Amino acid sequence: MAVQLLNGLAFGVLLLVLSSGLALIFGLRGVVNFAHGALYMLAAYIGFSATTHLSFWAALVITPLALASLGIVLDRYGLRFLSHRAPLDMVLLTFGLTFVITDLVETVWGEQSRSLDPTAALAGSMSVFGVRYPTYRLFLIAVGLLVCVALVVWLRLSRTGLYIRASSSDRRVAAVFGVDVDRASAIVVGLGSGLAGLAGVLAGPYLSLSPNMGVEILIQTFIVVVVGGLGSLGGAMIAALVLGMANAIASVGFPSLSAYVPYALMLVMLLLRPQGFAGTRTA
Amino acid sequence: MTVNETNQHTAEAREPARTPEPPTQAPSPRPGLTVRDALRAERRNDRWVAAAWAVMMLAGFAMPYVLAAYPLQLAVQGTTMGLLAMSIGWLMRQTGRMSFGHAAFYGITAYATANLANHTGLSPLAAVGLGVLMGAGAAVVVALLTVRTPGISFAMLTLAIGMLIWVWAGQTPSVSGGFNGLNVTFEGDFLGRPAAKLINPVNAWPLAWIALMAGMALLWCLSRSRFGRRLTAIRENKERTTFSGHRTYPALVLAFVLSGLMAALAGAVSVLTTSFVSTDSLYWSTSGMALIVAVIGGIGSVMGPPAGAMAFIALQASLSASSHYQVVLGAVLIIVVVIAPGGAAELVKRTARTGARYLGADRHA
Repeated sequence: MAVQLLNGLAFGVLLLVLSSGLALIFGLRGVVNFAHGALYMLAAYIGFSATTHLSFWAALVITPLALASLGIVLDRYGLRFLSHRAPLDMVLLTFGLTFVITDLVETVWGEQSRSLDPTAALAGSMSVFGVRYPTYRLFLIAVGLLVCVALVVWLRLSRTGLYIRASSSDRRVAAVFGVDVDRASAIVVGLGSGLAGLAGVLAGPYLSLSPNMGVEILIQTFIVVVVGGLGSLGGAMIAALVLGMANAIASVGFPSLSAYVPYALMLVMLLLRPQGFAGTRTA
Repeated sequence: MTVNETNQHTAEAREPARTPEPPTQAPSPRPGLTVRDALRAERRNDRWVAAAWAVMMLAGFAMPYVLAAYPLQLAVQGTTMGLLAMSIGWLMRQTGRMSFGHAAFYGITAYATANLANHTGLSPLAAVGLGVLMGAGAAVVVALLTVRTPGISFAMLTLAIGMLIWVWAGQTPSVSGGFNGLNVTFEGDFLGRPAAKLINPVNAWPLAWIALMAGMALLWCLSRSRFGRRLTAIRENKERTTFSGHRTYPALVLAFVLSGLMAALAGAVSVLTTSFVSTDSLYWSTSGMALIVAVIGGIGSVMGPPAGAMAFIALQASLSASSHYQVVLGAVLIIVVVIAPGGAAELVKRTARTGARYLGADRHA
């Protein structure tokens, strides 16, 4: 049981990193980013190449930075000019981007799935709560939680964080008060993409790499963001952990029903409490 | 006046993300142009559209004499996808609601028809009829649950319901054939011809074409009816429509059910013309792809989504050898959204309007 709970926690933390980026972007740009899964998949492959040529530690630094730059470019030369469009247009645009990125990855890295071994320092297993558990997954849990705590602290305490929260709750009023909302948006889209990058690298040795991995996790990420409350970071964080745990518990208790869990959770949540766990508060 | 203005402001502040005005609306008001004039111009316009529809309907029947077997097979696929795209696009245009769950009605109808034909010995026509009824019935249930929620939440609710059904199908191989899919053996006649022969595109084409054109005509008439206008009013401002004394919930439910019925029809055509169903038909990306082709074709017109579907199937087939169709499709989608919001239909409409003005035939509008 402890092992199952840790598994749930590991998957929950991966969703946590991925969905906090999605929630931030939705909060600030109002964009339901369908390309988030594709960015995550791209990051996993970049991380794969960086690991084979350099090392896993280098990949852990390079990939999020590369994705963050990509995100900033995307915002500066794409989303900014389309911010007045209907949200549906943005959904379709990011849908299109997903196709392009998927094709790119299939061309460069091929269509077959790949796997990545964790570095020697993280291979093997450790003993926690009286059970042996893979070291790498513990590392994933630690890194993910650390990054998210840092993110919340930064949003709460820094000046840029204040600007981001202000732009997110009311873009126009924030602009009137002298906040550079475009800069805040660029930072957030960069940050969100960087988080997708981090999730991609972390997922490499944990799940297997395939061009479909983005689509598979995207729906789960959406569920997390919706259940948490659209655009709310804190809500998404709680929802990610709840979903991870619910998956783990269901797979032990009711294995045949476990596949229903995420969808049923979203259905019940939307019908009973459409605003999600946290409403629309950013952090 | 002041009250009116404040009302407008609050309504706009509450939902800043409204869908753009549909191109079906009358053009910008001019001095001297009454509502009656606008309606008359609209009706004159309608006559042209109806004529175009009739020509297309007749021309369609010539397809088997023009196209070889493989392109005709693709065209049949295109009509199936076109029906689904049309159902989703129409719902989006009339109610502003984006459904990711229409694959469920499509898939349920296909599976129900397949299982009835395989296990009960019903005639193909009865199996198809019951299948469509089951698909539409599912749409009724989903509609009652979901239509109250607006915006992204509606998309996510329909997605959740569709995916629950997909999971169920994946775990119930006795019904769905598991991930290998389900082959269907039709025995007996369907509308006077052996149903099993519908797998040949030459036999299947007239059926698929009639289904598409009939669906198109139905949705077109509905958009122009009083019911269609009421739906537009609800989309633009639900609260104000309620204040005007109209009940919004039954109208939305009916719109969703009609759209679901069209998706069910698409499922029926699909299972009849391929004799095969797989769980992929229930997956959310079936709805997602239909939505994409609907937008590329243009949801402002009922002809847009089927045209988009045909173009997509043709593109996919012509690029399948190079395996780069994804990048082309993605690029096309991005370009359409950025450059031509409203899709191909909007481009055609704009060209036609300019042409008409150039010829002096469009004096009023």
